[in-house]
Amino acid sequence: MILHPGALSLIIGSLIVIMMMVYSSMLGLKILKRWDVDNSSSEQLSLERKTYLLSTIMNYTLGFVILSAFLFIYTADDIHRIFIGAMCATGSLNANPIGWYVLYTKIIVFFLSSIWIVFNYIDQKAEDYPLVRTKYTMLLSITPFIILDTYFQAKYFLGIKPNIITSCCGSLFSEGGKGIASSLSSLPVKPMMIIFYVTIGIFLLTSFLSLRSQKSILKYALTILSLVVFVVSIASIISFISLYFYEIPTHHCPFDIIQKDYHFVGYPVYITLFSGVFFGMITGIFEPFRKISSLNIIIENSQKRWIVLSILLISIFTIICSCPILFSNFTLKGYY
Amino acid sequence: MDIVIKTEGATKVFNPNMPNEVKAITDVSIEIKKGELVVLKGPSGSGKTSLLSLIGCMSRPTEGKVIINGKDVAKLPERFLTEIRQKTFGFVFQMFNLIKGISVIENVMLPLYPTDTKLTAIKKQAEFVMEKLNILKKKNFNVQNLSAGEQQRVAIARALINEPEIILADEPTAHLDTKLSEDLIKILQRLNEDGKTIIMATHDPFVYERPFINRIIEMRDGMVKKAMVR
Amino acid sequence: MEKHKKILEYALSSLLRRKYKNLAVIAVFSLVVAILASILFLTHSFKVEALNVLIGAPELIVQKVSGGRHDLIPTDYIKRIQGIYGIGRVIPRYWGYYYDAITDGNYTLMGVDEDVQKLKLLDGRMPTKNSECAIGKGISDVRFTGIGEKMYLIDSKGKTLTFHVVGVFTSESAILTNDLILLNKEDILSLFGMSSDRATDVVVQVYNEFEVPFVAGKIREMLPDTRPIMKGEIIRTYETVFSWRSGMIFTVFFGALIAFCILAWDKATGLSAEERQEIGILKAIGWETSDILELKFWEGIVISLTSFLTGLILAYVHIFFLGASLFASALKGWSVIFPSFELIPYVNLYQVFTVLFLTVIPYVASTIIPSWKVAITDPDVVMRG
Repeated sequence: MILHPGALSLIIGSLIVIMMMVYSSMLGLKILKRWDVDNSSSEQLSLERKTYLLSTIMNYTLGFVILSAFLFIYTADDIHRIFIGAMCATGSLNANPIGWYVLYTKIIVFFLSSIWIVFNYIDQKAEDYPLVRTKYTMLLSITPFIILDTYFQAKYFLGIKPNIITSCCGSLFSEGGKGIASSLSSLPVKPMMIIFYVTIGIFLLTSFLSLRSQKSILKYALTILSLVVFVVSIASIISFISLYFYEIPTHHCPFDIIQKDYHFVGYPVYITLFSGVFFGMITGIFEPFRKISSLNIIIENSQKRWIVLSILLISIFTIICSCPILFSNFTLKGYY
Repeated sequence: MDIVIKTEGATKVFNPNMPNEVKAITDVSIEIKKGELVVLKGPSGSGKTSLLSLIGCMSRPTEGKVIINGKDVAKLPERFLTEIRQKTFGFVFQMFNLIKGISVIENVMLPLYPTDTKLTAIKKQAEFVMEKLNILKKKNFNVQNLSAGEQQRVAIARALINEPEIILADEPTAHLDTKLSEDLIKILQRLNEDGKTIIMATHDPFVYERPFINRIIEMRDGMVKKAMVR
Repeated sequence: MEKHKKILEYALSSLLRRKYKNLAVIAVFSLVVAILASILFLTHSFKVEALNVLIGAPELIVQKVSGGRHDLIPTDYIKRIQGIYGIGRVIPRYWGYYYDAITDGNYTLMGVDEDVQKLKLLDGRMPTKNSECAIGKGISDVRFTGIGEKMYLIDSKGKTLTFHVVGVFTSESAILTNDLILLNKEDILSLFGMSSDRATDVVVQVYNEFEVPFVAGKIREMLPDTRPIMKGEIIRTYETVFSWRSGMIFTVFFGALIAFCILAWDKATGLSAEERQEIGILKAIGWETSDILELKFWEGIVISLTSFLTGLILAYVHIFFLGASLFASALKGWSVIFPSFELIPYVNLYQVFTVLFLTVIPYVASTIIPSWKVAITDPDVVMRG
């Protein structure tokens, strides 16, 4: 099954990324062992120069990870016709359950790589490279996830047997089934709506408060709230938001909204959600590093920017999701 | 007068602990005040270029301190060095070092490309500087089509575009005839009168036997021999 | 923002100053993209056409099997199948293959029935009586015959039969009809020497499409010497075969891709003395390592995108204007003997994305390290002449 062009591209791309990440990790180890910012010897200079290489590689890796997540979903969607019972990407992923793990690892790698890039960015703004050890230790921990992602991905494509009867999103995300997806789909709409909007409201309120006050506790709260927003939003998309996009009370699939038939609305939805959550998260993650004198002001200023971005993106996300609920002719009244 | 440049025990060793190890300068301590015109005098191999390179934040000393406007730059990461260099120094090289294939005005504007200044503002500044050096007429010529003297003036214009307070010149008259050398020295003198600090490395007596030079620092074998004040 | 614009401008000017070297890279890169994109466009075009066609195909076809091979099905099976719950109409079909020695091609001959009525015609009409026929565009071209003219076929006894052409099919339905000849049912029977109590196969209408597998199961149970074929299975088979075939070509092409990446690496590393000097000067006058890296990045992007777009356009022209002369045989398989038909352009974002992945990403990866090596040039270097 690997001989599908999309599958081939993903596998080749992942192998290239693994090569680069392994190389980066080896460099990272060297840097961790020999780094001494007070030393102005040529070895230190050479290490400093290597950090540029690592930054470049990581930036490209992140770009690749993001693209490959979309390509993976698209490929899964493209091959759905091979499986009996599959109507979209969900069916393809069900045909070989490892497919879902590929998706999860890609999401994890996305967040880890993005956090690393921010660490790198902050570190480079200070004159004494205060975050070098943290950064490169983190780099070493991203590589195993990328290897895992490639492994799962290969296993997924290799393990696909076209005769398998699989279930489509209609049955996976149906209200009557077993499993998490079904549970999410069958969450009662009205309470879920309330939870969704209340969570967003609390998140935005906390964000505004963090802008005005310097209290650390608010920043940590923001990180936790971001994660909550992420989980609640995904659950809400499956539970009721998707229904409004599809205008069908039983179509809960979270993947079909990225298709042409629905004007690719999935893209702005997921892009704003992921990036909004990301910026909210890193606000608190960097708070403990303000202890470092050379970073205090830098982080403080960056946090302000991140909070503003997060507010903006989550607001746009909420507006996009609310539009069909408020303005379309479709209504769930009487159905639930 | 303020001290703009100070070195304390600056040492530069190339390829340390290797068979081709070279000690370019050893334990150099000098001070240069704002508005001075200083000459680093010495034969080739005496370390003047290396010292200029250290002062100009082009490389880091193996030992010792290099203090620019009160800040020790010896251990700064490269990008901070570049920032200081961009703001403080203008460099005139021995070999002009203009980029062939692009026009005069583009060469002059290049140092300000990686900054957030708008292109139009940079262009205006470039034209202003070129006007002062009398090469504005040739702004759209390719640099290969200019004479040595004109190329030298383009190089100086490029060194001035970021309005530096300190100008470093490395053997500026090495490839010029007497008349052009005379023109060059006049330009540097004028810049010094305008308040710029100028440090020149040279072994050309045509340059260092001039009355308006404040100080000569003599170097030999990587060390300072004499600092003569006029 | 300003800074990035200016560095991009310098990157463009830098590329133009080394026209020949860069054009060489772009030419090879475009070729690589064109080959890849051609494969994808072609496959996708076939797939989409096949799927479009199969949408109108019957949900369930039942054939008789004898000695593991397809045999003619007795028409009294129809009544027995009709008795199964959930089935609508059961319609016999009469069709077969005809080898034409004159043009060295295989035609498909079909008896007129309900299904076929839905096909679009270019001109004329369907045959309504004996000795009339409607033919596909491919046959019309190759036999130099059209509406109002005659078509000659040889029957199973060696006798030449004459048919009047009353209709020619349009090119939109080419994939279905290009090699198709429609005749009246009696003409088919006599041409192939079939007895009237046999049909080639039967089409079964099932009311609820989700019930098709169950109905197929019941038919197999009731008539063990038959083979029910579901539309879904046909679609899956096509899908797999096309993907497999294109994947095969890809694998072969992979070698070319690697060679290209080596070229890219080499070009990026092999800087001329002049280029090295230039970077040294930039570093000396105030450009940082990250600025040089950004310069190299822009150069890479401009080359990649130019090559990518050029390659895509070349592929599009190759496939949809030049008939995919290079790959068509490998992809179409045995049926390529005759006739040919026009491919209708179907391009989607997914394919474009896939080509991007397979070309731009390896290219960028192979230039990262060489670019970095260049970017860390010591500004000091320029002082030493």
